[in-house]
Amino acid sequence: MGAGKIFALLLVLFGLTSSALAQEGERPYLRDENQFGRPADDFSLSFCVDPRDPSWEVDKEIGEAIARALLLEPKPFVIESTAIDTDDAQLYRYLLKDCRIHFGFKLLAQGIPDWLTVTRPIYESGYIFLVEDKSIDKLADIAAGKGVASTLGTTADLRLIQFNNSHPSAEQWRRFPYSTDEAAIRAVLSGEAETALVWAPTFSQLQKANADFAALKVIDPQPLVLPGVPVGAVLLAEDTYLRVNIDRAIGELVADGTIDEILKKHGLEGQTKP
Amino acid sequence: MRKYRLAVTTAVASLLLLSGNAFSQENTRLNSISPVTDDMLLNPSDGDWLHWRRTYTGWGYSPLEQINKENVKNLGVAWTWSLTPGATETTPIVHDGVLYIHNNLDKVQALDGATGDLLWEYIRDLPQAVIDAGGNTATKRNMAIYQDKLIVSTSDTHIIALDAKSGQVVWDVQPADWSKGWRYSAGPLVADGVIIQGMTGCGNAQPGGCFITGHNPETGEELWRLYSIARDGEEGDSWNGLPVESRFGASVWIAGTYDPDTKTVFTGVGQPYPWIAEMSGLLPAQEGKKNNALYSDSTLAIDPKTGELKWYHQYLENDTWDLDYVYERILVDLPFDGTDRKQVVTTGKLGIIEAIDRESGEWLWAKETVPQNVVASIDPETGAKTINQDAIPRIGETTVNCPADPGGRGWPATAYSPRTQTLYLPLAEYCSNTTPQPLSPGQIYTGGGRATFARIPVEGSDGNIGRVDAIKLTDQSTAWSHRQRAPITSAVLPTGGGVVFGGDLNRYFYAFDDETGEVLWKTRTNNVVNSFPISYEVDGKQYVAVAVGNGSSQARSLATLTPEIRVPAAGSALWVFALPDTN
Repeated sequence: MGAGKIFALLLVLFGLTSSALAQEGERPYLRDENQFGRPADDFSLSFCVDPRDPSWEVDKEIGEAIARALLLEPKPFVIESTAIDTDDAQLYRYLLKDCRIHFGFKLLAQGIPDWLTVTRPIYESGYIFLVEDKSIDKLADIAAGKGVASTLGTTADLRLIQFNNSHPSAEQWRRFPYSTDEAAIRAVLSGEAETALVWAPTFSQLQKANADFAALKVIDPQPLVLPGVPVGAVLLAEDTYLRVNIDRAIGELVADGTIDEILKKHGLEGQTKP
Repeated sequence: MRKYRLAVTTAVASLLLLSGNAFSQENTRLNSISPVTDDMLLNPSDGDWLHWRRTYTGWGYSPLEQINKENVKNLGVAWTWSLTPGATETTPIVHDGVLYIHNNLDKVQALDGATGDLLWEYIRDLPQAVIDAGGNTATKRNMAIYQDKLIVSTSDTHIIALDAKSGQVVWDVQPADWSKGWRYSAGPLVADGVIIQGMTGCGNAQPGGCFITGHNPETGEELWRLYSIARDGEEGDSWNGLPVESRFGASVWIAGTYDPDTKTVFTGVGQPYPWIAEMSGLLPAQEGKKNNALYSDSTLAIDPKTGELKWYHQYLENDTWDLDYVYERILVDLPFDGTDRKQVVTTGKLGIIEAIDRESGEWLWAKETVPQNVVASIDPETGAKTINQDAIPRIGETTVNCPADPGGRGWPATAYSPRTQTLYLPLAEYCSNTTPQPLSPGQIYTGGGRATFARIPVEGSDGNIGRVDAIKLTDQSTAWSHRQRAPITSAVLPTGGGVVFGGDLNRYFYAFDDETGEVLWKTRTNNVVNSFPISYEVDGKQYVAVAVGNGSSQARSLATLTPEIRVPAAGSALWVFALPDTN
């Protein structure tokens, strides 16, 4: 994290709702907040992972490695909710009640809520364009007017919007927003769109359960530039001491190759940076 | 496996009914409840409060006049009742002296309207994820009563019927799956013998958006479903060429009103999601396509028996600010332009009051209230709005729009008094620095947002945020305007006694003179006055009831403008006021 640079986060798992980003200083309201105390210092590190996140098993293993590096007992809390959506109040509840740190968050340079703090990046991944037509090698090969299925509201989606809208309408692709990566991918398979813009780790995981996704290939995003997205974890803003120690542990695990090994083991699209 | 606490409910009701002399009055109160007939719904007794806004016209007006301008200064607390902690966007129903109240997280209670004694309660066994999520969807702005049943929409997206005398579940249906993001935050309307319920939460990965359902009151069976987002071929293509799978929003999160003469239900529809039009795909406009996103921000005129859409009127095309036109539809018969017109009047978040002819759908007039910079002009013939292009949010920029997203008026309802032919409006003056933000959905797309709304005072503000306006509907003139620092956070309640009740973030509950706006009485409660006040009569005595409590996102958003006003996190309660017996 660069000095003086304000980091905001984008949730890999969570999409913050309107209320979440409505006002950066607002701490979410919990009607029963008075029931939750902060955990006393002990010999364990409680951390949250969520199976709705395609990389949750990676997160769990990284959490365990961080705990061990800090000579603490790892205490993973696996979120059980099957709800398709969640919000900042739920995240706040997890951090008060179930864990000190929640893995699986994208770290971006916009508007972090005051009540959260973020770790240093653990690894970096990114967004990809997928096509079914094997003759297409890069985004530029797709003719204007063709459909681009894009998962709504990602950083890559915003880049696509800005790039596309900067061209005359006759030279624009037709962008169709979809609610999930899977829905965007299925729009390609159904012929609704020529390409889908999705989160690479999600595609990796979806491929395992969807044989028809094997027909898709990743293309070069040119002329669009899609920078890598750092992924880390969040803590309550007051947990600065813990964050410093976790950041140190992450640095050590990146340096000794532990994180790379975990990514490789799970076939996750991602790289570490010292 | 989920189960409902039928046994608990039964036990509580039985205990309260059979535990000796202390409960004899309660027993009598319950036994004296008469079935609510269609005639009663059409012409409610003055002492009852049977609909969300008391009558099918949506006026929110009580004809009771025991409490009046002269004696309201003597108003005191008759009784109070603690509610489940959390948001209290609730409206009691009162029938034959029994007050029914919905608590946060779907606890429903029947109380003696005169004493506050508990008669029965129903506690829903909600999934833990629903309980943990809490928030606005754990509260319900209204319930309905019909025949011998209380009709309740629940936080796990069921509709249930409770026996009005015992609280036991009569039937339970699930129109949609809460885990898919569907939500109920308002309750139903019963019109022409059909339960009509709107769905919200439709930004949460529900391609194709929201809907309204009609249900059989005897069984809960779904009779019809009307989608609030136009399908392909419906009213042309108004979604900029987007496939149905890429259309989101149009939540129906406020109950409708009903005109029995034409057998028409009027209901509002919210905005398209996500709010930023560049993200939703509604901008840039595609050549040869419309992008007004029907039926968002519209009034729908619906046949309650069939769900047929008779006509619609859209107030705001392609809403990219979260400035819904979803709120109460008020039915008034008043002259306009020299001719008697049957009007349906509504006020969206922009704070612009608009009237249309409720038989033809013809637009009639508009009246602005709070400062706004989104609409540059309104065509006086058609109501078509010219939008200030500078107020449209753009990715990579911060733009200013007034009012901010919670609205120049929020869900706290306006009300109409036939006594003064005046519409009373709880309003707020503020703006927003709006910055579109990326929010990666990963596996879970949650919603309507995707922008940071930094709420700020109106340029040149004198510091007053809260406001109650009184607008004469006969000529749209402003009768009075009460302005104050604390945001007004409750609906307003005009009465036959010439007073208008309403409350604020600073815990005050006021009685205004309905003709001058003078504050005739005020009292301080224990929390934010953030609900729909009602008035009712039991045993010849008039009461005024209002729920207070923290947790509503609307009030909490307004609170960011007045950080010096502190309110407790807990302490939701129902306050009931009356005149001293000697008065």
